[in-house]
Amino acid sequence: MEIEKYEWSCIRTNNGEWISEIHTQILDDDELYVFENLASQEGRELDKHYGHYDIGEKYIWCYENDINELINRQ
Amino acid sequence: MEIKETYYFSPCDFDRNGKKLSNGTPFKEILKEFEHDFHSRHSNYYALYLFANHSTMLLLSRSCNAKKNLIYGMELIEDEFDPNTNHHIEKASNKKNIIVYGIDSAFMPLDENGIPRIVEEKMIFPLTLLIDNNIRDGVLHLKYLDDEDSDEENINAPINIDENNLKFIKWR
Repeated sequence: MEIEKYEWSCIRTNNGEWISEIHTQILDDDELYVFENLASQEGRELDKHYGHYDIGEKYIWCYENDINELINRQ
Repeated sequence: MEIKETYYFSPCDFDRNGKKLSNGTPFKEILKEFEHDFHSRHSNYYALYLFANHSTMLLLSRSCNAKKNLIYGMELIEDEFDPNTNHHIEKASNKKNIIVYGIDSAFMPLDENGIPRIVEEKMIFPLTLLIDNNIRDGVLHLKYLDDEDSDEENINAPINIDENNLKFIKWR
């Protein structure tokens, strides 16, 4: 099977680890507000990580599993 | 071209958190010392790959205070470095465990936000983590590998590296 180069990327965690982007979900401001509230209702903080695009614009991502768990508990 | 250096340490000198019993130094800091040593021996090159066995990767992850579901290092596939196959396996799994393909290298400079960044033109990338269980406890290899033809510092032809795959990880 021929595999395309660069068909996936690694993203950095705040702890200096580089993981596949398949485990991450980039959140916009509205989504961030919602999921921070859902997490706080469970008495915890959302595990947020910070990145930036090549052009320098910043983004915030969270682990997809964390987001899915918060959604599934609703 | 391959440049390889072998480093030794004593696993029993470290506690369960990956810190040195004598002075509390985390193993990740010892690894940074090894990276600096590598660069001091080969001034034009930075180590890009860490090869070590499962135990050493576990020691490293503990010293980095990693989340429990993060697995440091990708497996060699039929003794070859094949990040895409690792990634396909990871995608096909239940995604509960997350492979850590690399960690910040000792040489990545900080950007204006204090976040380590890649400097592609100087070949400063994250340190790619590869599990090789043929390597014994207390030993690790740091390597610089590229797929360009060059006789410079051509020490040994790699035996377990698929050179066509060397650039398959995109760090962003």
